[in-house]
Amino acid sequence: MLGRGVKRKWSCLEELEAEVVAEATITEEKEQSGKDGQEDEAGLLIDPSKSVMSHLQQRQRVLGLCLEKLQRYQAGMELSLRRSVLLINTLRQIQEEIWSDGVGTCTSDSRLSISGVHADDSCLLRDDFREDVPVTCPGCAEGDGESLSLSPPLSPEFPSQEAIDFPDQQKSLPAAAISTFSDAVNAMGYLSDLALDDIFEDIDTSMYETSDLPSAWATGSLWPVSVSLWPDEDVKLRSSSHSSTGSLQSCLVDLNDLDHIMEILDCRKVLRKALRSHGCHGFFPLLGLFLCSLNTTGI
Amino acid sequence: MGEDTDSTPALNHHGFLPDHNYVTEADIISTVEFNHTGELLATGDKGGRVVIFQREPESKTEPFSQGEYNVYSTFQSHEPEFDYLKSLEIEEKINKIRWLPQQNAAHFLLSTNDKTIKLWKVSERDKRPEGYNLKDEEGRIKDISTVTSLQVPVLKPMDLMVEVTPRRVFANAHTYHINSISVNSDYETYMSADDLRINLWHLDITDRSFNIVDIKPANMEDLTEVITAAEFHPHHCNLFVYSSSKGTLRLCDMREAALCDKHSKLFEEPEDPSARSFFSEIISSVSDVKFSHSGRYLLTRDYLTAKVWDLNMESKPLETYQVHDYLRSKLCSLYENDCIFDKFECAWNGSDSVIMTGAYNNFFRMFDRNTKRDVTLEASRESSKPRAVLKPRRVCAAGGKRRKDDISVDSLDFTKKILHTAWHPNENIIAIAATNNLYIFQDKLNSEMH
Repeated sequence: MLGRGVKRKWSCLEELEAEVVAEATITEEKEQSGKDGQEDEAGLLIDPSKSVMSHLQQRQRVLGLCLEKLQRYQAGMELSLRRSVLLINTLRQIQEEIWSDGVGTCTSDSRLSISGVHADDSCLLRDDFREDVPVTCPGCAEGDGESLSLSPPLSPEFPSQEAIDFPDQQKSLPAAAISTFSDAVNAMGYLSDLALDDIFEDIDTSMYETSDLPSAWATGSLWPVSVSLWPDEDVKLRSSSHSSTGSLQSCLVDLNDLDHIMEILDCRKVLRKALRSHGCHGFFPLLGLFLCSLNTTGI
Repeated sequence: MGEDTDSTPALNHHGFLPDHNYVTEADIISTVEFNHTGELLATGDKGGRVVIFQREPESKTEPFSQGEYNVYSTFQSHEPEFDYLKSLEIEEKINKIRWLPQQNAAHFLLSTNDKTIKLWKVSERDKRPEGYNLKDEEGRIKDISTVTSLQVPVLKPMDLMVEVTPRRVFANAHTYHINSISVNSDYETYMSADDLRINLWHLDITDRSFNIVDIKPANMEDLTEVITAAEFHPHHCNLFVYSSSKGTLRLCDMREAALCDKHSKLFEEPEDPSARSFFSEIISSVSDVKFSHSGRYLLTRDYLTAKVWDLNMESKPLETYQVHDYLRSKLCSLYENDCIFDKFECAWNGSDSVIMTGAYNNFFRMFDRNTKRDVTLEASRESSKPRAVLKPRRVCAAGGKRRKDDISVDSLDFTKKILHTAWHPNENIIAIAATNNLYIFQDKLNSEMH
């Protein structure tokens, strides 16, 4: 969340988080009471301390669960077609939402050049990123609005960042939140300095550069998020990233990006495996959609 | 359900009273269905077995034990199979049972698992021939030399024996899993629906079926919707309805075309944009659809509500009943533990004035369409002794005001789900399947609901 060199006091963050969380609670409660307008006192009032979850966090969680459930299919447990369709539709919905978040909320620093990004030509870590094209990681491209850490928060201060952007929920943001956010966004500039090429050169991407994917797949939209479903990889990555990018050790964002990327790769492996093993059920070519969107990252 | 002046002291005031509860060998019941007279009740379980209960005729000596249901027959309907081509196991779980209207002394029912439908004949034998010339009583061939005179075998009464024989096997017509079967009012045909297709069969012909609905897209990647349930209209043999995972209902007329991909009517409630969440689509998926006995209305069940639709109005349901709206704030957790995918069934009473559906914690709900009153009842051994009156239950929100005996939302047991319920076609008798137990409740009075 915090860029390199940006200092923040712990207490400040706590306050910020509390504010945002409180806001989320109020809005949720309003929504709920709006929905169950007829509820009497014995009806449903959510206990805020138990059920508050920011939209973004919930989205993240749902996304993770989606993938997990779909992955179970790969593990041999047969998923009914109805369930698969519902899961994949949910995934699609999340993907679209994240995509629209990313396109819609371009308040970022020009160094990010996100405003020029469209799905098809998103400059996610293409091989030619070393040119002037500013590089954004998948987790960032869909929105400066999106927090820089899309995996489940690695540290407590992150949720506050994630909670910030709800373009579709019209929450009024405290000024402090907005400024914090822009600081974080500014810190994204580091990416253009990053020699990511070096980091990725030993990753075997030949498996993913296939020409037999239908063209429809090739123009798929962003793979929006990655989720830490494989905690072990996270641990490995963190250590490797530390060694190769010593100068970025203090920048937690970098780690998240690498996590994202590695998780995406793992994700693709998982989905591809699922694809291959279930030709007959007929439906899992759909997962190829996700594979192709990962393809556009150029990894 | 109106008032009934006939009251008996032991049974007064409201509610249903349980007759019996039956344990079916620790297997989970997967379908429950009364026959057209209500005399027989069939249940199917995950082990592929069917158990048929028969109602005892009222006995004059003990008026309170009128019409108890006792086991009539048990048989193994389906066995587990293995599809070698796809390397998939085919479960023997009975997904649906449907009775055929009775046309002679025997009873016929259709039972289906994921892939194969079978027609079973249930017949009674209470006489047997005795006095054969060539065989003795045990069936052994007699020594010819001992036969000195001829006799005509006569039919003698014997202990009642119920024989169940498979008469037809309708196989290999479904690529996807069968979720519904429905017998047509012409009593000659029936349909079977899987996730993507609906087939029309003739009851006498097993080697072919007509495909009447096919929603499989050319490219499976474009698949966004599956068929979840289907039923024939109770009177018009050309009409049927099918529901989808997106919450739509389609009424189709078989006279219009051989392939009924184009619906005659589409019933869909526009989504409330303010209520949209990640789970909106999942909870809108219709898990069951039932025509009313009159044929005028449709009853559908989605995850949180039961809706009554008028066939003449496609734009929105006539009535919406909240089954367990207190779960709305818990959808994420229910998604996590897969409960959000549970498929609850629903039922009409005989006069189409009351609808019933199940919920969690072994609760089931009944809604009176006329008085707009509803009741929550529990099917469990602890709370219902034979002859006792069921006590209405209440679920209150966590932290809300709580009356005595209320259950808090957080203490609901989500493993105890009532997915399958059935209502006697004429009387106020209901069958509730609670995991591996079957509860049959009778209403001694026409009770008021609150």
